[in-house]
Amino acid sequence: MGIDKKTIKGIANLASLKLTPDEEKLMEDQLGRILDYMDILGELNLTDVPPTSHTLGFTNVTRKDKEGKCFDVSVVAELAPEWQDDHVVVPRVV
Amino acid sequence: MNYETIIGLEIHVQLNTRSKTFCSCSTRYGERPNSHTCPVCLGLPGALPVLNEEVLRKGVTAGIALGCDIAENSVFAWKNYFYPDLPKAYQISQFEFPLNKNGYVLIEDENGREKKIDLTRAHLEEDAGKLIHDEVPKGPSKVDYNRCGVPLLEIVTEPDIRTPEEAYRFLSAVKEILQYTGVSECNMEKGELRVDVNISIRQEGEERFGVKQEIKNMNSFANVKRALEYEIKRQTKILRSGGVLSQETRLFNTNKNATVSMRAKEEAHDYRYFPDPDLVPVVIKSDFIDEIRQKLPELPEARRARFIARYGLTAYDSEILCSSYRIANYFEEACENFSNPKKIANWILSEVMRVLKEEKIEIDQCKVTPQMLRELFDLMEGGTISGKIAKEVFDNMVSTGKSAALIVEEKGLRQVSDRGEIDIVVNDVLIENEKVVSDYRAGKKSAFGYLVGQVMKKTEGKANPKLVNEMLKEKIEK
Amino acid sequence: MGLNDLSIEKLRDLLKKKEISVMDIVRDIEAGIAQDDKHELPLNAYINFDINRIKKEAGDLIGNSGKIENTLLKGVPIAIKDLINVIHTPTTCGSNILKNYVSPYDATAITLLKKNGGVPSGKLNMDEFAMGSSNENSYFGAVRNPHDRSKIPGGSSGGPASAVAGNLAVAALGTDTGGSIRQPASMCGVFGIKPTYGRVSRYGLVAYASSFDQIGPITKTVMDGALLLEAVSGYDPKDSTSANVETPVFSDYVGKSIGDLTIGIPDEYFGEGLDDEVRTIVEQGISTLKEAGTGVKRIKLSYTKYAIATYYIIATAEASSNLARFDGIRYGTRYVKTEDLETLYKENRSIGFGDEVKRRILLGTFTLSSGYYDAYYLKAQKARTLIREDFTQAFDEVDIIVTPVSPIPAWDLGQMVDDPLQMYLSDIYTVPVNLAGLPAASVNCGKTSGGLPVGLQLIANHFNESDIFRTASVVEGKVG
Repeated sequence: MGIDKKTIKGIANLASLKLTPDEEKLMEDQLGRILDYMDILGELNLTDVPPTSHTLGFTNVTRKDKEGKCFDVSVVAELAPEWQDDHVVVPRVV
Repeated sequence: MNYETIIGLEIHVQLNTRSKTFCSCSTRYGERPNSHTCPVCLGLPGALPVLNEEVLRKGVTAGIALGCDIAENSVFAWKNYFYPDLPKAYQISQFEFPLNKNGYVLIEDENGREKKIDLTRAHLEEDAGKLIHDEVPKGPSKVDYNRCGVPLLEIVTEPDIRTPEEAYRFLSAVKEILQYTGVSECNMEKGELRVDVNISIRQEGEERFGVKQEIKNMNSFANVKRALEYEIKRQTKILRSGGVLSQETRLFNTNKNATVSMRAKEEAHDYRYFPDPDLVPVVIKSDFIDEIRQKLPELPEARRARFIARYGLTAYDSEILCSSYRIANYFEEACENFSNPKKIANWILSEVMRVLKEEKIEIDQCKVTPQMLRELFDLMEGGTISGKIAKEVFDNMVSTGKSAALIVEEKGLRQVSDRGEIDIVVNDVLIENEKVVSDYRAGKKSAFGYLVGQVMKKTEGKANPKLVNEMLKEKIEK
Repeated sequence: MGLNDLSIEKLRDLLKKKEISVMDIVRDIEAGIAQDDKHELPLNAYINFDINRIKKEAGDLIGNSGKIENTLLKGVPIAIKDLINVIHTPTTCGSNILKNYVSPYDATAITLLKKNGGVPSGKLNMDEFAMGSSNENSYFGAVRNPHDRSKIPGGSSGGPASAVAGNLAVAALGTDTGGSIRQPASMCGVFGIKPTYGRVSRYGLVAYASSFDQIGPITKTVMDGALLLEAVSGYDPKDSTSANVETPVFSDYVGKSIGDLTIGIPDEYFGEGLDDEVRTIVEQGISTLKEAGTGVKRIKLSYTKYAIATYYIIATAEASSNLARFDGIRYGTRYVKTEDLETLYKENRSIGFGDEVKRRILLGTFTLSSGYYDAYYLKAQKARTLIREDFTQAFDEVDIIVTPVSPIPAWDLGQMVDDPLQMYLSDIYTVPVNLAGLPAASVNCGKTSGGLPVGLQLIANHFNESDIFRTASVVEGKVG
């Protein structure tokens, strides 16, 4: 099963990526071929096979409800590309 | 043509923990912005989450209290979307395998009948950061990540609610349960309980649901009710005039007392949920559930029943007292070793509630502790002060925080029960009011009350009213 | 010959005897890098080598502990793939989107490395976000193979393998998601081991595909691999997938007899597509093991042919989410001045990410998206179960599975850049191991007629790295 341009546009949007028309074309070709290859899994009978998310099968890994050390605000400020009054600045959202 | 309203709710409630869901940053509210952050809750490259055991415990506690099936296996999942308040661009939530499923909450409907509201699920997830917007129009938004990663329980109901009042009662009941069980403080001002509403309208008898409207992010039950009332009117009007509703997400504007469209139902948000590879599955064994169940505090329903049986309160009074676990606790502490709990209940329902309302405070902020209230009652019962003086003393306690005994002492409010002292005043009053006395003797019985009032006035209310009555009667009927 | 040419084992000894200092080694490495930079075709193995920063790390180590001579590594400088966070040091992940990012924290593996006397010394080049098999996908330029500078070093840990093979580092920490330690180690003729998933903490390792990623050593010798793995292994409460198991003294197993072991040879790893010269060299390696007394069994790993599809579906799905956080909002660079949020996201990410990263993000976004999840992601998770069970059965019969690492030796730079699927298919022998979470190493097994190294892959059951070290040291002893 391949992939069409409309779908490429849709997933690029979901992934917050901007593609040029050339890139769209290239991705359509390359992802189409890769997805065609992925169809190989169709050969398998997977009806009663459980999915694997973790190889080691651990469960219930938790920590105690204790407060620990936080960053100094200056560290957060240092990281942020735009910063004002102890806040990270972003384009207006509403 | 009659229309029927179908309402479903999603409640996000903050779990009461010291540290965040997946890191050890503090959950404290109102601190310096971005001071409660670390690699994990800021979503720095390479950081990994580890589940707070208390989040799990509180989640299971809520599940039990809400009558849910606790899942033996539950799994965290990534919910993917981009927003500046979501550092990893995915929220760690639960999707296919939530912690709690199939619960219910009982309420009383508007006809006084018991009604069961079914819950679809109650799952764990992390909160996002807080966005504030520049006052300058079109100015930037700013993000504080302190709230990011704070634990939430999302409770989702079935579309079982039919009226705004039912929604209100359901929310109040849920809040009570969560507060009672210590799962959440449910402090609405701090945004610890937020409600999303789904509402649709259909013709009576119609099987299919109408077009759903979502109203997001309300943090007051009164607003939820108002928003629903507004929506019913708005949607009914459109349908009656032959119009068609389109699916929308709306916000409630408190100033306009109306909902406004936020966006058309987004081209079906595709959240691409999948199991969190960084967190391992949660397995809950029955002994863990039993252990929590045994420690579960009394729930509101049971407490109301007990108040009626044990303290002889009316259903109405116990309902009001139990509507807040803090008020109910206050009552029980005040009653300890006191012979007449009904009196204390009445006092709380009238005087204490009045003060809370006037001062806009919660009961644990009231300067009069339950023990102090009981001491006040001890003074009344022991005859040291009268009921009238007690009100004055109480108001003074509220403003100063001093004990009743101290105030009575300082202000000289001790009740006068000395026959000799009262006798002098009674004699004065009789001499000054010869005319009234003869009226009384001529059969005008109401004149007696006037005379009592005069004695009380002269003693600034301190005379023991029982004695005053007795002694006056003795004198003028002689 | 400088100190940079020596092994951890040798340098440890010299440091212990106080014949050299930590900074002597660092200076020799610096000189080596400087000399290589003058080469017509530099290896380009480092993204960052900040001598002052390294000096500070070394100083802290010597100053703080005061007992550096009692530590395992005694101050040996270790170069770090630039996907692992080292505090106050750039951590670019080979990407434009993080080119100015300076990490405010240490990965747990780095904390342990320092505790055990290793000095983090420079950040190594790599395929952007560890996506690639040739190290041509780096924003900081391709890395070259020291054995033939017209060839790729392999990827995604091309920087670590090239630096260690070219003596621009004593040893390095790399990462392996689908073969990213073993394949470049094989192509550059050095030792590299991907430990059992959960053996080394992932905290502070920038995630590509969380359920596969592991940190591991790339070293000149098997003994060095054992020492370095020992230094960074151990349970970490900050990583929920970290295994709470004892760390064996791996170095004790180097050179030990393998007479009690049975090796398994899976047919599926010797079929079509395997280069003849590689086959011959690998078969020689197997003969060496036989001569050392191992039993040999032919085994079946029937689901091997589904591994590439399975791996690339799951890995790209995880990657599409893991890389969503790179948006230039809280850290990194904002490439555009805009008042529109969506523009900010899209421009930053489109300028910040390279082609292969975009390709994998799109692929993963697609296979998770509504309507396709069951057909791709869920199916791959189920296929993963079958591949894992394949190995479980095999390890009932054998102790070590022996295979080639890569079907072909290092290829020419640029040869496969336009054919991503072909590049993915070259990972066929390494990805099954990651799907099953097993430990596996590449040990040099010989050279082609063209002088290109070929590695032998040794796969063990979960937490049986010790058997790998025993076996690898036999091959190393023979090949030299």
